Amino acid sequence: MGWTMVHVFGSLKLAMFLFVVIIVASTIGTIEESRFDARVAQHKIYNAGWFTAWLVLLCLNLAGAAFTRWPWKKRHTGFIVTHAGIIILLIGSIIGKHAGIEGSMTLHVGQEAKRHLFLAEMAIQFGDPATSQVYRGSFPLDLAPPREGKPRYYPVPGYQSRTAGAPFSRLATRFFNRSPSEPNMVFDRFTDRLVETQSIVVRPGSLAQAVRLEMRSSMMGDGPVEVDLITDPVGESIYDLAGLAQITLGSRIVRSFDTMERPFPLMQLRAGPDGQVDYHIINSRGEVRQGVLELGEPVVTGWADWTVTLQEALPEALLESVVDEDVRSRAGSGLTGVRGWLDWGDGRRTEPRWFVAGDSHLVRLDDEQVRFAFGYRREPIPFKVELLNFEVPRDPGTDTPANFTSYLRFTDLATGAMTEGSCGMNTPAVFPAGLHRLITGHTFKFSQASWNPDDPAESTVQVLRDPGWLFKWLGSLIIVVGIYLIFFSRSHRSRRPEDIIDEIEPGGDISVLKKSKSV
Amino acid sequence: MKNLIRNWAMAGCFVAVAGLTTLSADYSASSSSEPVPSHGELAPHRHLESLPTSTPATAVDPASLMPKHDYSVLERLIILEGGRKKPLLTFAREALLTMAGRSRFEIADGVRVEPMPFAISIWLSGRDWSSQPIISLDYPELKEQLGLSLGDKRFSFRDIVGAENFQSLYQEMERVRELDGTEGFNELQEKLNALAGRLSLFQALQSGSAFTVVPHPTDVNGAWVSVPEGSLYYSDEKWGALNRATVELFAAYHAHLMESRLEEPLLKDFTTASTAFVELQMTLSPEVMLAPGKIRAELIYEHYSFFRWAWILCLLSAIITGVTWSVGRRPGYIIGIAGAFAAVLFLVVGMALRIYISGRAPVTNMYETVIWVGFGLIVFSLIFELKYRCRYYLVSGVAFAAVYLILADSVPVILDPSIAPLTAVLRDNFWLTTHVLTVTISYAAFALAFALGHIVLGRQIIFGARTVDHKLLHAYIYRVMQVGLLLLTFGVILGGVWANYSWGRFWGWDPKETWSLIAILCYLFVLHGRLVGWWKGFGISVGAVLGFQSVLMCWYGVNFILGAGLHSYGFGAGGDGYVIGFVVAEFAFVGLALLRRGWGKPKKPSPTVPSSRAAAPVA
Repeated sequence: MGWTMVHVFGSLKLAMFLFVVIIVASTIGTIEESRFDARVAQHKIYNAGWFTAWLVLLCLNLAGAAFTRWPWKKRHTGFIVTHAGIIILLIGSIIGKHAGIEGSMTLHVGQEAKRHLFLAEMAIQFGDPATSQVYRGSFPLDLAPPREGKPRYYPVPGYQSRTAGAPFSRLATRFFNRSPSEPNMVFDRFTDRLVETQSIVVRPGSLAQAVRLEMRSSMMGDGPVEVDLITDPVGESIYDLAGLAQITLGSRIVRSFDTMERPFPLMQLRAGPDGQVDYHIINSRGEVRQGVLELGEPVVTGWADWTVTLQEALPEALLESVVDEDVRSRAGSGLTGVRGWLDWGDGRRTEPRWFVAGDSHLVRLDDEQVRFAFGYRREPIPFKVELLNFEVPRDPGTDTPANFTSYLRFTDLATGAMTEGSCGMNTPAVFPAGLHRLITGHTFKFSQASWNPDDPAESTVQVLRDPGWLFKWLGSLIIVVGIYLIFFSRSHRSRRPEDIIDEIEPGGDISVLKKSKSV
Repeated sequence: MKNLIRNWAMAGCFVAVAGLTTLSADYSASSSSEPVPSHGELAPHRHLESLPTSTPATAVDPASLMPKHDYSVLERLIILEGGRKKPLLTFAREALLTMAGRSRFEIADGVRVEPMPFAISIWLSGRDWSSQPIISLDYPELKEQLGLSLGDKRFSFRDIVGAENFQSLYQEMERVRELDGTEGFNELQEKLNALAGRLSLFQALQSGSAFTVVPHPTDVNGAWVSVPEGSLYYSDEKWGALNRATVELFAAYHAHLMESRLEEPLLKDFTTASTAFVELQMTLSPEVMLAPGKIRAELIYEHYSFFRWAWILCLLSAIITGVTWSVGRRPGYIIGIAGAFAAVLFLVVGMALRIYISGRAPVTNMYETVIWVGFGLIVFSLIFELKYRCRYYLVSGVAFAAVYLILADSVPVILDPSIAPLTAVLRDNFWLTTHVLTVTISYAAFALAFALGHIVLGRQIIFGARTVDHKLLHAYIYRVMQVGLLLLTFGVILGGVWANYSWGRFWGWDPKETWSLIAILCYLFVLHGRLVGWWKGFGISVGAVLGFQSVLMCWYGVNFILGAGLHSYGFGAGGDGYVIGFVVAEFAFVGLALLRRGWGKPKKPSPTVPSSRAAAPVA
């Protein structure tokens, strides 16, 4: 019985079938990648469960094939070694996939050290108001976007009925697009073209004040500049006039002139609840001029020939931001988000709206509420990373980068010990170091991944922890040795080619086995 | 609203920067596939708008544009362009190739445009080339839209820019670019964009700004400038000397026109003036200059077409061996082998020079890999030939290598022979050398199996059903396929190790990776199918021909047809029609061979007749 299984799994015909399926699937994968992108192809094919299962089957086939030759003889060496190598390599990749981490970190020179990396997969998390627990789930809407009329359902945790039929009802909701019988967040669109527009609106009762100013200068050929300032949400808003001067709006004068080391040309505005706008103008010598900004009356600032005119004062204002899809913009140029609604399962549902990735969202339906967030999965790491410097040398006389080097500092969170390292193209940095960590793969490797041509201080590094790497390298080595042994072993050398072809004509190993079985 | 002033101020800078960098950015955009920083993308628009399109074209006699001079001295003038310091000869050849699609061609009866005379004419003499048909446009739809003659391949700058629809088409393209970037272009706009690159290259050449021959005074990696801009870099004294040398060169160039008016002693001979100019350039900033050895190497490389000689030798070798085969003459065989050896020698010298000039392994673009695979084919043929002495290897391998080398030599627009700086990710010579060389050399082994497969299938088609026994040939094919499979597996694994080391992941299902795996699996399928008993030697031959299609997809298809993935440094365009045609023809060929063999008919036991030819001992 055991041997029968070995022969079934180790059969060459199964191997041929596995080859064909992998060839066809991979071909489709590359076409998908060329049509969409790499991650879509990986989601649909290479990382799909059935593909992994297929590779596991290949492993079994390889092992089975090796054991069909039992008892092994010397001439089987190359064959056994090669098959063992492939199995070890595949095991290494399975270990790497499940026990490893692959993510990226975008670092900025001069910014705080980071303790998280982002994985290239989206996740959703729900907060359960009753237990204050957080539920996480995979959220691959970017890879397989939902379509209108075929939305995706995400059950709100804590509300699933415990009745016997519930799982089937959930399945029906998911696959047959039936309306749910439990609370669900439902999403029907995914986009990376969301644009947030902010506008100041009058909202009686609001505590924030806003002013609408018009600035003029003879330097500006294109007419006046409109400046809107509002104290919402930070209490003070600042307008910077091309580094020349600043205008601030606050509910009070926030800066004390005496403590300013080097007076900066500044106009401070204070809007009262009655709509009166006071101003203080400080010049670079620290001299102060003050008064009231009257509607429509230009005030000379003293910065070149700029004047400021109050167009409107709004004592009860609110900064309202609206997120919507901008179909004119380029794919990937906006915010990432999904459109969805809360369906309580009893016929009540909210209006569809856009949710931006990375933010926390609160959806209210009558007196029920659901809090959730989604975005690229964040993974904490046991140390923090800081970008000390980022160098991009260029090809002579061009803007084409010749190399990238990120100088990093790692701080161990437990001990506080600091280590510095650098990673460039083809020269990764490793932290924590140590031979045993290096060998077992229990360390993080930082490789240069990408950069921002518009910001020379920003660098993105790829972070990888791969406990399976040794298996992969060993497997690789063994495969190469094995193939060499098969093709170029001593028994093959110094023979005429026609002898070789005879030896491997059908009637070799496989048919011998068949005969012995039938006997 | 809030940031309007800042944006306005930035826009001002933007415009200024765009104006300044227009020429250099455009040229680099047109000559390499590297993404150009955003300011470069808008540049052609600004530049092309300000064209003096209304000026009537004065009839210039093309013959007078390039007077006969000795240009050999100026060939070694150094120019920094596209991130590399190169002799003027190289620059001139590459510029013509980019702009005109060829580096040597006729513009009028008996008037040939050659790189050096052209470069000196457009740069030094100030002659107006805008009415000469030197800008290639080979896209019928665009020609039609512009009202240009469909029969011509090259047009003058004036013809194109002065065409009625040009401005409107161009503005429409720019509008799309601003909205969606180059991804938003339709095919016409893509061609128009490429054309705009060639037009701005022309402008840069005609205005002289492309001739950045004045080195940066201190920085080895600093930008070089044209002669008029040299005053930015050097003291009045040095720049004055440079200017004087330019004027003298100009005068010497036109001496034949001025002789009657000027006294002879005032005029330097053109060669003397050229030498003075070149020597002055060398002294301006010696530490920034290209090493003399490299200049010499590159000029040798440019002058002697090593790769062309290699294919001529290959062709001769294959023909002589093939023709003398039937008579079993030993001298012919020896000449054939010697020819193949000579071809290898030429390839080695050519590649060695390329390695010396570029400082890296010669397998970083399609052109280089085609040459390298051709080289590998000859080497494999010779190795197997010397071992088995059967002539099959020599004839098929060397003939197929000639096909590769001819291809590399004849379609420079698709297989770009210019030496360009490497993208950052490839700048690791150890891994580049081991991984890429191993993978591409495996293509050579598969190509040899493919060529041998053609002999089997060809004989099958000629001699018909089951009459010929190719047993020996099958064995040869099998052997070569084994070598290929070992090398490809080894190369792919090295690639995994490189990727694991330098990018993190070992295997990422990148299209190039995936297709190399598919190629491995295809050949495994062919080899294992024999063990199952599904086919024998003939099946292996069919597999050698069909399996090579997967290699072709991995090698050419991923870069030129799919155009996706991380192995993006090799991307290119063009030739897909021919390659697809080739693949279809191969399938038809295999189909025909199978038909002739009686595939599908019930098998009749037929005694195998040993082929007298295959079994005949050599000589």
